[in-house]
Parts: sequence; C-alpha cells; structure tokens
Amino acid sequence: MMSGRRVIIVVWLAGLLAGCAVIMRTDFITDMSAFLPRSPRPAQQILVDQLREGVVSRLILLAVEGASSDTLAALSKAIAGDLRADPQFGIVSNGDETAFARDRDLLWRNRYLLSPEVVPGHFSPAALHAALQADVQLLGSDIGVLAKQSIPADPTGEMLRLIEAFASQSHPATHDGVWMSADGSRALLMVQTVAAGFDLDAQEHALQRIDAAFAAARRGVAAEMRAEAGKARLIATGPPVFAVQTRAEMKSDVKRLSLIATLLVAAILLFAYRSASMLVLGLLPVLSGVIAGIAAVSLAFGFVHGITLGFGVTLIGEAVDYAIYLLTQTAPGAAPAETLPRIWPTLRLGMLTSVCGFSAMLLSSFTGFAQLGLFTITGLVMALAVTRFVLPALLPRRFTTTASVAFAVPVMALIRAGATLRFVVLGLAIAAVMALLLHHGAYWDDELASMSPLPAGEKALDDRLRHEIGAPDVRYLLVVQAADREAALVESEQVAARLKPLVANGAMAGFDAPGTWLPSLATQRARQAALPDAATLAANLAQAIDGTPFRPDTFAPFLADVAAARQQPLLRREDLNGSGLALRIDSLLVQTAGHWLTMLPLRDVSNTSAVAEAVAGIGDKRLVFLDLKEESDRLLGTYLHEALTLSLAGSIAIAGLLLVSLRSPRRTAVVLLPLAAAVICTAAIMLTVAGRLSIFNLFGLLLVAAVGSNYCLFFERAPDADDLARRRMVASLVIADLCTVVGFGILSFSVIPVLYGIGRTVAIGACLSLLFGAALSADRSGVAGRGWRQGNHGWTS
Amino acid sequence: MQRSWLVIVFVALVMVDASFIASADPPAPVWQLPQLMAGMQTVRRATASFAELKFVQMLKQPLQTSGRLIYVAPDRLQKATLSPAPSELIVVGDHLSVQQPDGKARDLSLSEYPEIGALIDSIRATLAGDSATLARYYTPTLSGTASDWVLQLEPRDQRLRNLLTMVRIKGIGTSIRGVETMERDGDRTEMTIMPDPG
Repeated sequence: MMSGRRVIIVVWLAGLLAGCAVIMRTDFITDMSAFLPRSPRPAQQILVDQLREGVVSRLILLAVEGASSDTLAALSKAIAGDLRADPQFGIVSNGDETAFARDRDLLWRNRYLLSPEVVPGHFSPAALHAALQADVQLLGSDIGVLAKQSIPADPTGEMLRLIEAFASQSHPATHDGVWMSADGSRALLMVQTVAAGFDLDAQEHALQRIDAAFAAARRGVAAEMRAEAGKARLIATGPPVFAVQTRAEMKSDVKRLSLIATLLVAAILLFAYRSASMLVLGLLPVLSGVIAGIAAVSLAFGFVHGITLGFGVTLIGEAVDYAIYLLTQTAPGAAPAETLPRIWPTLRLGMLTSVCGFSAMLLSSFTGFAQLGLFTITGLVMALAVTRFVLPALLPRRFTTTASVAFAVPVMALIRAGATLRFVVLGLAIAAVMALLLHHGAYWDDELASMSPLPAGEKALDDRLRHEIGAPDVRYLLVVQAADREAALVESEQVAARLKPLVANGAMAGFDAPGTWLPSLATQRARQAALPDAATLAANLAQAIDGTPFRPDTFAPFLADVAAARQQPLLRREDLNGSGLALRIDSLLVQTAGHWLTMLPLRDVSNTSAVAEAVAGIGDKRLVFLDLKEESDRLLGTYLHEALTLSLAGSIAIAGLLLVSLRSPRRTAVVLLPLAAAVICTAAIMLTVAGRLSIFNLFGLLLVAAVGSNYCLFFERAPDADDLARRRMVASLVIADLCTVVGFGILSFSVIPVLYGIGRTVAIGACLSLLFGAALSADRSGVAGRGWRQGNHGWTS
Repeated sequence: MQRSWLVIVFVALVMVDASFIASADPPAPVWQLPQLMAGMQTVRRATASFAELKFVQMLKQPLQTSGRLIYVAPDRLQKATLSPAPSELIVVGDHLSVQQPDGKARDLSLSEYPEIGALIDSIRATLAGDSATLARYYTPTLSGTASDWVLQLEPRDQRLRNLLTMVRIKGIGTSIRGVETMERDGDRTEMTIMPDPG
C-alpha cells in the first residue's frame, strides 16, 4: 500500500516536472493569428496582417493641452525633435515643415520622373504657351507668390502638382509652425512606430519613450514658459495605445480581481475544511490540470496562445470542484479511499460530460478554439486523475469537514419545497423562453467594435483627435498581389488608372497608390522619353513665349533641368531612404511570404457598389477589394457562428453521453432539464440586460453547462445515498457553487468585456444550476421517497 | 514657406486699406500712433475700389488688376478682382478661401505658416488698434500728418525679413489710400484705393 502510494506520487511529480519542462520551452503568442480560420480567405489574411502590422496599427495620435498656444507649440516642437532622433519612430509629424525638407528636395529633383502629366506633347509649343499664360494669371492673382519662385525652373507647374498630392490629406490649423486644434487649446502630433502593432512590448516601450520626451520637453522649454508647461498634459490615443492600455488593464484587473476571488474562495474553503493544508491539497488537481493542459497544447501545436491560457484556466475552474466533492463528501474519520467509490462514477461522468462539451472545439477551424478545446480536455482529465489517485494518497488519515454540512441547510430546504418549486422553475423557464423568442433585433453582437475594451470616452477622444489631425481612418483598401516589387508597381499603376474615373465621378474622394511616389521603371522611362531634347525644347519655348509678358531669359533653369532629367538615373526605392516618401511607400508596398502586396487605400468612398463594380471590371483575380470593417465583422461572425455550431454539437454529444451512461431517458431528462432551464434563464437574463449576447456570454454558457451538469448529476444520484451522505453531497455542491459564484462574480466587476461577459454569465448560471437542480431533484424524492432511506447502495460497502 | 505669404500680405494690406476707408474723424491735436490706432477702432464697415500694379522681374511689364474691396469689422475681408480675369478672395478669422481665375477653389488657414501668421496677425492688430501685438512683429514708424500720413512697417522676425523688406501704408484720416509692398527679391506691389463716397 505504502509503496503503491509512493509510486503514484512519484509518477505524478515526474509528470508535473515533465510538464513544466515542456512549458519552459513553450512559445507564448499573443497576436491575432490564432483567430484566423486555418484556411483564411485572402481578404481575411490581409485584414489580420493589417491589424497586426499595418500602418494603422502603428499610428499614435498625441495632443498636448493645458497651456497657452505658444507654450504648447514649444512643447510640440521639443517632443517632435526628440522623437525624430529616435530610430523606433518612423514618422513624427507635428506640422513642422522643416521636417519635410528632404521630401521636398526629392520631389523637386525627380519632378519630371514623378509627374503624371509628363507625356508626349506636354512640352509642345501650344502646351507650353498655355502653361505660360496660366503662369501669368497665377502671378497676377492673390496666390501668385505660390508659384513665383518655382516658375523659372518649372513653368508647367509639375512641383505644385506633386506638393498638392503630397499634402492631399487635410491638415489641422497651425500655430507658430505646428499643428494646433482650431481653438488653440491642443497641440497635435502624429507618430508612427517602426515596430508592428502586435509587438506590444515594443509599443509599450515607444509610449514610455513618448512620455519621457514630454517630460524632457516640459523641463526644456524657455524659462518664462516653464510654470505653464508644468501644468500641460499629454494625451495619447490610437491602436498601439489602446492595445497597450488594454493589456495593462487586463493584467491589473486579472491580478486584482483574481486576488480578491482567491482570498474569498480560500476563506470559504477554510471555513469548510478548517485546515490550511487541506486548502492547499484541494488546489493540487486544478494546478496539475493547468500544467498538463499547457504542456499538451504546446506539444500538439508548437505554441500556446495567450488567450488559450486565459480562457482555459477559467474553463477548467470546474476542476476545483473535484477536490471539494471528494473532501466534503468524506465522512469524519473515514478514509477518502472509502468515499471515492461512491462518488467516482458521478465525478467521472461529470468530467466526461464536460469533455464531451469541449471536444467539439477540437474540430474548430480556428486554432484558438482548437487549442482551447485540447487545453480544457487535458486539464480536466488530469485534474480528475489527480483527485482520484493522488489526493487520497496525500490526505491525512483523519480529517473532518463536519462543519461543512451546515452549508447544505438552505438547499435541503429547497429540495424539500421542491414539489412547489418545480412549478416556479417551469414558470421561469417558460418566461425565459418567451423573453428569448420575443426579443427584438439581433441576438448576437457581431460587431467587432463592441468587443473592444475601449471605454466610450476613449473612443470619442480618439475620434476627435483623428478628426482634428485629419489622420486617415482607412476602411476600404484595394490590394494587388504580384511576384516582385516591380511587377507590383506595374500592376498597381494599371489599377490606379482604372480608379481615376471613380474619383472624377465622385464615387470616392481619392486614393493613395505607391506609384505616385515611386513609379514603375517602365513608367519613369516613358516619362523620360516624353521629354524633348534641348534644341527642340528651346525652339518650342521660344515659340511659346511669344505673346506673353515673360522675359525670354526667364526660363534658362527650366531648359537646364529638363536636359538633366532626360539623363538622370531612374528613381529607386533605395533613393528614398530616410524620407517621408520611403515610409509612405513602405506602408503601401509590402513583402509578405514570397510575394509583394500593393495597398491602395481609398478615401471617403461614397459609392461602394460603383467601386466594387469597377474592381470586378478589371477582372484580376488577385485584386481584392477590402472593406476592413465588414471583413472584421465577418470574421467575428464566422467565429461566433462556429462557436454556436460547436456548442450545439457539444450539447448533443452531452445528451448522447448521458443517455448511454445512465441507460434511461428519464434519468437523462432529470439531469438535463434543470441544466437546460438554467442555461436558458441565464441567456434570457443576459439578453435582457445587455440587449445582445456576445461571444463571451456564449463561452460563459458553455462553462455553465460544464459546471452545472456536475451538480445535476450529483442530484440525480442523490436518492441512492443515505441521509448524511446526501447532506454531505449537497454541502459539497453548495461549497463548490459558492466558490464558482464568488470567483466569477468578482470577474463581473472588471471593465474588460471578456472578463465581465464570462464572469456574469457563469456566476448567474452556476447559481441557477444549483437552485434548479435542487428544486427539480425533489421531484424524484417525492415520487421515490423511499430512495432516501434505502441506505447503502453497494458503492460504500 | 513661400506659399501664399504674399496672399496674406495682400489680404492684410487690403484689410488695412479697407478699415481706413471712409468716415474721417477730426484730426487729433498730436498725430502719433496711439491716435491712429484709436481712430481705426471706430471703423466698422467700408467698401472701396482698388487698382493694383505688380512689378515682377521676370515680366517685361507690370501686371495690372482692379476690383472691389469690402471690409466688415472685426475680421472679414472680401477682395473681388474683376479685371483682367475674375477671381475672389475671402478671409474670415483664420480662414482664407480663394477662387482662382481657372475656377479652382483653395482653402487655407492663415496660421498655416508662421511668417504669414505673424504678418496677418500684426496687420489685424493695426486694424484693431492693438499696438502691443503690432509691435510684437513689426517696428512701426508713423510720419506725416493726420490728413496725410504714412505708416511704415518693418518686419522684426528674421524669417519674415527674408521675404519682406517693408510695407508702406498711406492714408488720410482713418481712410487708407495706398499700400506698397516691397519684397526681398526686388519685386513690389502698389495698390491704390478709392473709397466709395459716403
């Protein structure tokens, strides 16, 4: 016996060590990839890539407020100067034009390669004459000086066109050279990190760096501004800020709430067990389960998603109950080994029920779901095994949980009143079904935005800053795929040509394309070829200048520049290094997994169907018209739909399992009816309170089914036990239920949708499962009252 | 930024012009800047015709334009060019919109560039009789008499000085009659203003 015990403990410890060894070498991943279906549509792949590392995911909007405009402008300049010197920031914009000196220079030197107007005939005598006449008009007009300095070298206005395109996004007002809100109360900055949006550690570091820059700026301003600068505040919004903030909030929420929940649960168990060592022993099954779960997922998938871990640990919360059942139901002075045979069949069936429910998840096309299924199943099996084999070996010979029987009193009263209460349960269930049936509108929340943990205030602030800065809030994208960069540029130019009519007829306000700043080599060569040779151009100009007030020698710089442009090396991506143009190109033209993607963000699309039609008309299968919002909502919809299907499949599997194990439709009904009533009532309450159900509520309901099925199974078995054993059983259920309700109830105080969504659902559902289970079990005791006094039924003997 | 600074100079000057148009107050006993400033504050609305000559070095002859000016206190100005090609400019507060001869419309923020912001704000300060703000950007020198005065504005800021040498405003009472703008590169603009009678 002793050696048998030792063997068990040694095997268990060795298993835990092995599990820990696997975990030590496990990659924990927190990006979105696990939430992609295993065979994603190209649009979904692009969407996830955009969310992970796209420009939008790396954009931070900053506002400095709380001081006079002059002070704010000084702070803005200091922050921008500081951040521009830091390589972790790609673009730092605050309106300061000097930052674009390199871009202006690049545009000016390459204007004849970049301007789309440079086609054959652009420098004919007639065209030049028209350009010169326009120049005269411009000089005489109120904005003449716009062009005055560039007219001698650029009479056809190529640079003006490029600059206009370059600054096409609307910009905020400026004060003292930097962006400022219209009322002068906020200096505005826009920062893009080099690190991808999913790299939260890097993003957190970048945000800390921004804070440091702000602090340094406050110390560094001129003495007369310092007092005021001390009162200034820095506000940051944007996807990286939200992601980092959410992670921090989640961490602190989980830490704080789980500490409170742990303390409360520990207090309940301490009260029940009256022993600290028992408390610790009671946690061994669930801890072993977590270790086994992580190790199994790691071995099967090669990595563990952070969410798997977070959800998984909640989902196997049921395992805490196993120890409670064993410890509470062991009679004083009796060895746990004697209790086990009595409760083991129920425990095993309870575990199998949960495993059945979760096994459907293994089949999911989402890696995240599949991981969660494997984690939960492994964890529960392990936890039950530890309860069955290890705990009895570790428990002291004489322990008692006499006091805990007191927990049973209220529920016993419920059971006694069951004859009437079952009608109440029936009534509640009917009311819940009615509430569900009569619900107006959609049942499920399928907008990704509502899953965002952002408080509404933060979202409003982000919207306001985005509006003030004029930052792109891209919703529609055209994506072109090609084998190499040059091919991608050529293809995107062809697509851009087809899009121009849509801008002209107002279907959209405009679009960005990489070819604007880096034309394909073929296009650049064609433009070079369209430039006339020196003699021709001089002759054309002499003819064109006739009849205008321009002095003949004015345009010598123009002749020289065109002659140089005919010979100049073509513009390549490398030539743009270190400029704002390079960053624009890199955000529109990216290399992924062996091919090149060109992104054409569309601005202010007013006629979506016209755009979709035009795109279809191009007839390129590799061209994708992407509505980021619709696509992300659709992704969530797919996700939700699959979760529902899997839950349904799980429910059917559970019913089948019970039918086979209990070998009686009636007994199966006795287990399933209170459970179904609890799930339906919980769903109805959630729907009524929130108006819609979220995917987190669904997870919660799954968990309710897993935990609640155990209660109902125990209630169903109850008539087979003697009175005291029965009371102990009820007490164990009450303690387990209290722990669940307290543990998850605390989560519902969280501000994070995931946490409160699951927390509320489980707390309410677990509570209802116990009450309904108790009330409906009376049904049987009433009919088969003798069952209570039947005494030992063989298991305890 | 060179872009549109001249516009603003223009606007500013025109605004000064307009505010000086009409309603001549009795000359103050001692003719100094404070008296001029005080007089400016009394002008609420003015309309005038203008004729403008631009001397640009790359052109063989000066460009001639003419049109109408309307000023409404405190910050609205409209300049409608009628000849040789119709165009219109409207400034309200910080916002400038231009309708060009080719039909293109542009919207600009006056404070988009520091030089322009300084320029427009200081001219506005003249209109408002705010000599403190005026002195922040310019060194003003007033000469002549109340019935025939010249206000010279010399830029103080180096960036502004790189573009603009001097603005010279001529007036009679609270009525502006001419604005001359001299640019660093030698180009200049002369505007003659004829207030509507009454």
